Amino acid sequence: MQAIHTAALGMKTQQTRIDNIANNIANINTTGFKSSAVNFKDALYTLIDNPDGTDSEAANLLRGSGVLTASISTDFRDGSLGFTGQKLDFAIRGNGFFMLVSPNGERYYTRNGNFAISHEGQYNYLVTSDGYYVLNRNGERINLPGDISSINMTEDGVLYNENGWTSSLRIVSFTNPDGLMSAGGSRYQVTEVSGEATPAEEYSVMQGALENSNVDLANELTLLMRTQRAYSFASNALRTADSMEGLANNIH
Amino acid sequence: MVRGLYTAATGMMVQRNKMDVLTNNLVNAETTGFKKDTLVTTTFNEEIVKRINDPSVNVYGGVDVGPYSYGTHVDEVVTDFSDGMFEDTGVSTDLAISGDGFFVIETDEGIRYTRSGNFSIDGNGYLVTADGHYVLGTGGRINIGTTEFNVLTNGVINVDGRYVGRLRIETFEDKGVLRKEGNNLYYAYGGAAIPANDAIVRQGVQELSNVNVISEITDMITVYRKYEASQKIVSITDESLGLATKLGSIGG
Repeated sequence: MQAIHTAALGMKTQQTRIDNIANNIANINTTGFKSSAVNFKDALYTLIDNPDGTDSEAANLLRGSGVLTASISTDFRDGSLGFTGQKLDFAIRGNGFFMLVSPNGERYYTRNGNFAISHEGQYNYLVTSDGYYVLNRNGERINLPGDISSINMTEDGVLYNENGWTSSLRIVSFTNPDGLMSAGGSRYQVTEVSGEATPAEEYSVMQGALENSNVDLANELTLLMRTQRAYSFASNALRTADSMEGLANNIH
Repeated sequence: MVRGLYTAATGMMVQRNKMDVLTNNLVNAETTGFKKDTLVTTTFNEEIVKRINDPSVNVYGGVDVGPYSYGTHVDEVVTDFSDGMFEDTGVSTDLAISGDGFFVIETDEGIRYTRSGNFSIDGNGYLVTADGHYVLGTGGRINIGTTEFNVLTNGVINVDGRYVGRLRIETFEDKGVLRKEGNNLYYAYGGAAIPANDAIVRQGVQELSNVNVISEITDMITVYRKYEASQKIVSITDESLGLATKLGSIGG
């Protein structure tokens, strides 16, 4: 009986959304985290046989086979700002990402501007909290002066101090940020779908502030309730379909 | 008597198909732009039952007793194309049509139609569905290039006030020609599309499914009970036939 499989697929797909909501809620305090949402699509349709012998397709005798995950889309709208006053905390407003390079040379992008210093011999590199180097406009690591308390920044991401030292944060954007691959640690990697990183145009950077997660708790909880309902409706249908099979099995 | 066995069985078969269709509605209650299906059933053509070889009325060739139908069978699936509720998402690539009309989608198999406007911008800047199929405008694929765009209610897409394209919104004189194929897409089984002049395009909004879960659950209960009743008739007929066969048994 198709209904059993249809209902089971319904439960499975709703489970994906519950997992996604749980991930959003768990990251409600993660700096630069972007919430994501699951989109659904109906699964394939098959023809229902008509004992009358008429053409089932002409009569629109189609039976759906459930629901599938169409996509998981990330909402890249700005999160609210949290002011920290720290010289190495940065927040991007608008469409842009910081560009990072891992210690083994791989490129990443992030909205999490909670940076620190890595002392390496004579160099003081600007790094993320887990040691990924932040890149400047020329794609090089940023070597900070010894005294970070004197570092200031302009709105478009140019760092400077009163001794004439200057460097600028590289801020990039993507045609389809939704296509970026999440690499964990609020970092993203470029994919074919996202398009190449290009210098961002419509953005500003703030020093002494961090971008909060853009997860809306009320929204997530409402969605969680809806999803739980959808899940239990599907399980109800599964139970009913199973009882019907039981009846068929008890005819004789 | 044996005739009754088959007639009751057709009732069971029809209810199984009904259960399949309504389970699919139920699991797609959270699918963007999904339209509810209803399975319509009909009776088999009535046939005249004749009395033959009855010595008490002394007839040859038979006398009409009356019409008899051999039960019920599936006839067609009717899709309810009424608008679902609209939910604000604030995401620029979420589009919805209010009123009569469909987005026109380019797939490898040809032109398809959808009400599900969870679109995105691909890496090359084109407006695409969640599955990556191109959304067509009046001049073919629409290259928007950014997620910062405006859609007017007539489907015109502007980027910074500059015209980049206009969504092709079409409908059918008789929407009964539309067939579902899954992935939120419809194809036309005969019938020519006409421009949808009454359609209003809304941006930052998604159309929820028009499935009413309460009525689906109620229908499910009805289906179950009808199935159960038919099953009882099959069982009772079977028992009666069992008694009839015992009549002739020796030493019983």
